[in-house]
Amino acid sequence: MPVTDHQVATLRALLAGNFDEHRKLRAQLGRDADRDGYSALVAAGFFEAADRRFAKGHTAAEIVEFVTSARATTEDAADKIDPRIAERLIRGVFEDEDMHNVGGQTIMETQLLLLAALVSEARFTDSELDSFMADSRKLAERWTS
Amino acid sequence: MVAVSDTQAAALRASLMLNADEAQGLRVRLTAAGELAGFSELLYAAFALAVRRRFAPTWTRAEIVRYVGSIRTTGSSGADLDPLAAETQIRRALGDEVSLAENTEQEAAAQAILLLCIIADLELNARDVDLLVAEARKLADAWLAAQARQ
Repeated sequence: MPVTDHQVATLRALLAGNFDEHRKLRAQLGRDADRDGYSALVAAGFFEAADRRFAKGHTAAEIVEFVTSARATTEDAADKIDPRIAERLIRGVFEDEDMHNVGGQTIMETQLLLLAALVSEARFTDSELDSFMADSRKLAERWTS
Repeated sequence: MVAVSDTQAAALRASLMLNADEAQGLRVRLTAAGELAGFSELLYAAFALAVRRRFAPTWTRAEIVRYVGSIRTTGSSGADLDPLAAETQIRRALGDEVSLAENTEQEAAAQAILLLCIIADLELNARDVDLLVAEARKLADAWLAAQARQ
């Protein structure tokens, strides 16, 4: 299933900190297939970003440290990110992690919040963000083909 | 009316001074004698007092998140500490209105780990621990008396 330009633009706006633009584009996402494609893109983006960030080392302590830092940024982040789920999702990028007891919506929301934190930490330039989005898109399309 | 006993206070003191054998022996004695009533109130009182000394009067959510995170990455009991249970316990002790976790065992375990970590942070000597235990005892007795009046 190809990822649409609209889905990419929606996620890119969020990751670039253009929240109004993101909200507007998000509201325009169609139902079901469109949202499924967006979820796949979020998952792929999260996977790509986590792989880059933790490729050199993903000890329990390093993962806890990152999730702690992400949750400490705002009160909202502390409320919305369940640290255990977040840590399992990051570990799951590198090893088998059974997430069957976590709801799909929770997984997606947590991936999105972590993705935002990972991209914020990476401090991409505009062209680096474009390149990251292109890689994430390719990965999402590979997963859904 | 239930009140904190000398043995209970001694058991708490031994735990806080990291005299594990003594603490264990006293707990066994308390269990065998059926004298555990009031002990959890004493533990919670010590915990709440320690938390307030460590974090009050001004604290932020971020500070608590980071503190729990630091215990989990550097403390010897880090792997056993449930982060949400720990944060909830600290916030509650600071007067924040948070709903308790469903797993009371996790919360009790978090409380025990946090208490020892905070005591270590505060660098209390033996006399300071004595004073803390005495203060916790007074507080726990007041709670127990209030419960008895209800």
